[in-house]
Amino acid sequence: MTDLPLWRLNALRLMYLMLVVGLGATIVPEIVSHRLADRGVIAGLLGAVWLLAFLGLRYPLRMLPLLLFEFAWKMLWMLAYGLPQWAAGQHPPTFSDDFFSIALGVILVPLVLPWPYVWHHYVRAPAERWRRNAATEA
Amino acid sequence: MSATPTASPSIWRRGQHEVSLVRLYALRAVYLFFAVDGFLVTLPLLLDHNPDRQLFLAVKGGLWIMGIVGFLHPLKVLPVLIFEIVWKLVWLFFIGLPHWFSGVNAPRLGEDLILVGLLPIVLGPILIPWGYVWRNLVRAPVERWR
Repeated sequence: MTDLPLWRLNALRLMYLMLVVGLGATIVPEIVSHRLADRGVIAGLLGAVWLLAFLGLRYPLRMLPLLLFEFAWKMLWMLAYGLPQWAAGQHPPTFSDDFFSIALGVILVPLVLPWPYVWHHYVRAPAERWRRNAATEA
Repeated sequence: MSATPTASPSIWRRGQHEVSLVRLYALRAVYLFFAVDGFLVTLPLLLDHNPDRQLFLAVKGGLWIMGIVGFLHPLKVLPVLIFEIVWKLVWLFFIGLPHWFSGVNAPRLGEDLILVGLLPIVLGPILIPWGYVWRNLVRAPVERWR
């Protein structure tokens, strides 16, 4: 299925494990015992990342879209809010916590991602079929 | 490459493929929604840097990017769609519904409940190719680890 070296798969697993442990320690307690009136959208989002990270331990490559998505939104947050707010010195009270955990993702995720594989598998690969009679792709 | 099958398969059946053509288009429609909504609604807000927390907008921006990839590769990007459904279920069960049943409702709660509930409760069960998920993300052998 793939010729990625074993260490790469296990580096990805380490990343999923970090999500399992980190979010398990911070977000899961927050979801279980939140104040009733909390809007809780972010907690719900991160709780789902936590759950799906378990699947990533089993299938590090098939679950890559989860890590790509994590990297994408954290990068966007950094560019659109984190860095400009930091430069301007104007930020909400949650800033330092958010900045730290998001910076961690922005730095670590691209280190473990197998970029050539991502490029071939998600960008260059032929799209899934569009027509009824399309020949089966590899 | 394998030859085109002689009898044209029904668009409703998966035949030798992983899922049916109808299913691929249904999935593509959702990814297309993420991509278009992200481009028209989320992106302008992201570019309009403001000093709030805005984690949720960044997450929607992430969906915009994955929506573009998912439009081409609906099955490969399925974990993102599953993520969308799972987080909404987590929110509904742990946050939205307990809040609703308590009777003290925040102004945005009703709106949140409808927006959040639509995908997992109404669309999720019919949209996700559960057979494919079962074969590839549950029953498939663990990717090699030693």
